[in-house]
Amino acid sequence: MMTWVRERMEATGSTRAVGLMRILLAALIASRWAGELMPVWHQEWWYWVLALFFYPAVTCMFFGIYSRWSTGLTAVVVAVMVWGFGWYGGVHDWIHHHTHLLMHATLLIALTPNGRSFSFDRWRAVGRAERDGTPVPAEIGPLWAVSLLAVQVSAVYFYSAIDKTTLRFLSGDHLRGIFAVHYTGSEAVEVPGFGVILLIGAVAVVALEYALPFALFVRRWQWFLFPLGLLFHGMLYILLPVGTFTCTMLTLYLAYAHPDDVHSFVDRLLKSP
Amino acid sequence: MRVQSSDWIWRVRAGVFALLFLWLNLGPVWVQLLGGRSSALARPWRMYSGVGQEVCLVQYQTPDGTLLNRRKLLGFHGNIIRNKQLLLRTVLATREEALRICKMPENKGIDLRVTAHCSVRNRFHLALDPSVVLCP
Repeated sequence: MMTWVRERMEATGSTRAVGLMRILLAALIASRWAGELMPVWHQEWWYWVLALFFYPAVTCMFFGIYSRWSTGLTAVVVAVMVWGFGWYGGVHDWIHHHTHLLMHATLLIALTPNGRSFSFDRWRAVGRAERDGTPVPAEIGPLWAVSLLAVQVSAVYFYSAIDKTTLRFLSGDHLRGIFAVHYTGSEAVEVPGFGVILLIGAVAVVALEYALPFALFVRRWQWFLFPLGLLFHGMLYILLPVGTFTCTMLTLYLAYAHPDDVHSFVDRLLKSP
Repeated sequence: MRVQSSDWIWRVRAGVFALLFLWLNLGPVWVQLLGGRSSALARPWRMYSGVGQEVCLVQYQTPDGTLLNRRKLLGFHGNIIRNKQLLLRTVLATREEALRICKMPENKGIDLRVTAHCSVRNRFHLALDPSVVLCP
């Protein structure tokens, strides 16, 4: 365990994965709150003050303008919204699990050198190097905080699996109730084998949620676990109203990927003839 | 594991890493395993655990066992309806819906029966069986 921690502390590598996560998280934050925070919807001045910080911070985070600062400011703004407005201001829509996950992810990504790739900061750095005739700075930085993003995703899976380890979930009855709420509206489903499908589905979900938090760290298994996770979350996204949760989880999968793998993947994508 | 005393950045990182690692994990442990209250800092990961806990699944029928279309009984003839309009959460709500059906002019004289399974904390139990006469 200590070896693992030590390795994480000293980890340096390509910043492309954190750059991509910065962009995707900014887009997710905007999709969750940008419409809701428009001044036209609020009469209270404190919402206007919030908007005054929110829009510039998220925009700069997205484009990577003064990335460390803008990501940090976005993290503070989102924390004020979730903790301040949500928990203490009674805005209950802002304290769902998907908003908490977004907040945690933004706080953690702010601790990474996320502006060294795919950013306005990078564009300026390359321009400066060309002007001065110096080598273009490498897209490398300390990645100790990236592991925490992976730990966050693993925690979501693991504690969610613990919550589901009950007879009522594993029997399929909980899924039957969810199905009724969202699809059939109290009409009994008379399809043969429906109960067995629910039972298999429930057991499969719990097994997957116990396996993913640990298995996703194993590099040689990621080639099939990433698509499996994509399929799992994709199904949830289509079948249930989960908000930004699915996209946030999939964005954070980049924290499990080895930085070199992400770097060479992007190199391959950008390879010109 | 030895740390150079001059390597203060390493120490700060390790401290922040440890604190955040604990925060990410102790919140769910506190709420989900130790029974503490959910709070701003202690966040459990219980997605959808509250959805579908109180639901009744019903199938209307006649005394001879002929199954009846609930939507037609309620007067939703081809209308676009939301699931929530068809959602019954308790046995009482099921009985009230049955009474409403009985009182509708188009269902006059109907001998309505139902098989209703209702969930209590997500376990479904038979709450009403066809032996119960629903229309007075």
